[in-house]
Amino acid sequence: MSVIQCVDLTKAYGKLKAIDHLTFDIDENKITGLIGRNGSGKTTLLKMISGYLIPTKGELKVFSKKPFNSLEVSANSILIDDTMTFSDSLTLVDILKEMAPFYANWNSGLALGLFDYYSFNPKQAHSNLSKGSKSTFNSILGIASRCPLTIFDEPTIGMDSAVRKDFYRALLKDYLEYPRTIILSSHMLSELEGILEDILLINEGTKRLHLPALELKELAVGLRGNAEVVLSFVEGKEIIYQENFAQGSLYVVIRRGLIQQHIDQIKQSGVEVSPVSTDDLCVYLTSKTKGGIDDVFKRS
Amino acid sequence: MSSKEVSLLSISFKQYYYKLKAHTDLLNRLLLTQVFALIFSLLGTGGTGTSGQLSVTFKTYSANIVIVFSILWIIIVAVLLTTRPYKQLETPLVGNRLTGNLSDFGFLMTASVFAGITSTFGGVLLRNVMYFISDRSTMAVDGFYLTFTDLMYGMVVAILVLVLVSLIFYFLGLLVQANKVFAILIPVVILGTLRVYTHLGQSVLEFYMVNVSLPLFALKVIITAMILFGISMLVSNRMEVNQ
Amino acid sequence: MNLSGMSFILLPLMIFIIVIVIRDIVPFLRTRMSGLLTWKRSFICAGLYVGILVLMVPMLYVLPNEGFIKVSTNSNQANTLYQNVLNDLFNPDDNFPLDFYQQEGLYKNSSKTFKAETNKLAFNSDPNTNLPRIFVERKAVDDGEINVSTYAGTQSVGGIDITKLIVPPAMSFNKGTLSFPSNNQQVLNLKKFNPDFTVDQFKNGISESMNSSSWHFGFGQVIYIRVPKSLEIDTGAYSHQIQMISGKQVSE
Repeated sequence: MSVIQCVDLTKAYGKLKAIDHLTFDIDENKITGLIGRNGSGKTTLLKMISGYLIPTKGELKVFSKKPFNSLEVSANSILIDDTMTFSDSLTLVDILKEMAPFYANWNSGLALGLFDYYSFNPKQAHSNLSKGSKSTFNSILGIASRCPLTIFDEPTIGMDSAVRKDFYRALLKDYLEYPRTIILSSHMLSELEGILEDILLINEGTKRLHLPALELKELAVGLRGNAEVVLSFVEGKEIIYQENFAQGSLYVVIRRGLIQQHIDQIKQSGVEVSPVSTDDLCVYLTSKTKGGIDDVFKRS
Repeated sequence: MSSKEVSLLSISFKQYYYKLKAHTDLLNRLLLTQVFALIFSLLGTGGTGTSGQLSVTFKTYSANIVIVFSILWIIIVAVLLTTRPYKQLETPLVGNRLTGNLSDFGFLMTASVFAGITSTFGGVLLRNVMYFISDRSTMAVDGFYLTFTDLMYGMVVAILVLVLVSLIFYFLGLLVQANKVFAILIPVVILGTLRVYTHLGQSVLEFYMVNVSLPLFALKVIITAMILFGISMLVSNRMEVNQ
Repeated sequence: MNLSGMSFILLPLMIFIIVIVIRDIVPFLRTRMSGLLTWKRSFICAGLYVGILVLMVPMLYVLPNEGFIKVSTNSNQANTLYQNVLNDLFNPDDNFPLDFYQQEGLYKNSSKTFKAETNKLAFNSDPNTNLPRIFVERKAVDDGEINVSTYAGTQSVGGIDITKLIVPPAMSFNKGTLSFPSNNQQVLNLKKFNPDFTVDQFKNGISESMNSSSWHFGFGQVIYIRVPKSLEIDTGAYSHQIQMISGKQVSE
């Protein structure tokens, strides 16, 4: 069953299109990663799903309802991002207590357990927290709420790596114990890979691809070797990325499926075949130029 | 997980309780304002006159200053509630535009009752204090002792005035949030209309403030309040939550 | 008589200060003190505040009603009275002898008796002070006593009758001369409680007279002297202030 259904969704601000004819479905009880560059429309999309913004065109349904201004969608979803604010008259512990009545599945024991684990000062105000502490606290809210649809928008901003690891671990553990639909948007795909089931890659407001993480891992290969040799194998085929190196060496990224038949040939011809990490692959798939930043330096 | 049915009213109440706790900074401002106003009220308003060997200072005392300052306070509160920082406090919670409005109205009603009671009773405090610190031989007894009916009357009227004023300014605040143009348009329209129809301002004020009976006044306020509720909800229903 | 409305400038200034306080200083203080003012503590403060105010109400009813002045509800009547007294005093008519003791509109605020050692009476006053009008009456007997009484005319301010509060002129009698040294200016601070504007609108009839800030200053004070029959009176330079009257015989 689809929790989120999106058909030809567009969100325009004047002439600028933040979301441009986006179509995808997200199934129930899966952890999906929303990946994309800055400005690709991730936050706008998540805000529309959470009911804060109105689509300009197209159809968006969450739990089979339009999310904007919907009480039911709001009750069953939560959006955790860095703009969450709380009044200064509430201490952190107060916040945990105040959130509970709103979310039916809220687990206080878990919330307080995580709260103590991270050694928060119960009497502190939310606005006094450092960036990293804020993200950590907000993540507690996201996990303990156990909402059927839990959305994290860049949840690890400011967190140090130990805390990030703890967050992913806690999220995964609770997800396994109490399944729900989770969307995580982040830049750091390399870290997330371990827990993501699906990856939705968007670029400039449209969908680039939507695949299970495992598939994405195997989606492309990198070929590195003598430029002429490499080019001969990929001629006429769609190249995802290419980069020139010294001494006539060329690195090319191409869909595995396109050259699968010739893989042995390629290996024997001295071209190095290497897997492409999902992180890098997403970068290549969403770059504006076929080359990398090095090109800028090469020209000068 | 399947969706749960949620009721508008229960969510609005939950938001209302949350706001009571979250907006205590506004409550503190009222206490401060009223304390200042009470101190100013102790100075009294009036003038001096001389005739020959006699110089007379005639001062009158009432809770008017406290009430007026409380009205100013609630105007500020009503407008603040519509602004981004305060609306943002709703985002971590469950709700929609409607629950946000209803909980805001609830908060304004509660604030009006609180401010109405405290400002009217402030007049009593004034009298008690003056009784002890001031020379009673030059103090007129008429008007010093308040009948309970008068006190209640004053309190109810103060509450009604605060309710009315707060809703008007909440609505105006919403208009400005809906479209920044209103920030300029509203003052221009009001000043313009007053210039052309100079008596309009006075007649509106008289319509509300000069009444023969309390129930009549209450009725005027309630009807105006309901109209303002209605259009406020219509205005905010289409507004996005921008951050 | 000048009514300085200090409130004209003071009120907008106060509004300005309050707005500044609410908008700028309080948030500044809050960021300094955040964490200190939790909602629980704020509620407690507010609760105490309301509690104190509510307790004020029974306290008001318990306070004994003593020591106050009353507002004269018939200020118009008092006004007429002293106009009449004015006429009567300065245009005495034998047909309508003036009876100081029972005259309404006048209030005796001091009474002294001096021994007439010398059989003369002269007057003296401080050049800066205006001598009040003096009415002298000869008694039927020579008892050697000069009875001086001072009377104040009805005066009210803002409806409050202040006649009884006026300090009588100081006087002394020495060697046949009645002296009136200058009085310091008497300062009266009158206070009145008005209903708040919220209640005012419903009490239109009554509040009118209550809220009047009309000032009725009378003509000040007059002095009534009863002298022994054969006392010599030297009016000196004050002859236009002093009037001889022949009152009827009345007992004190």
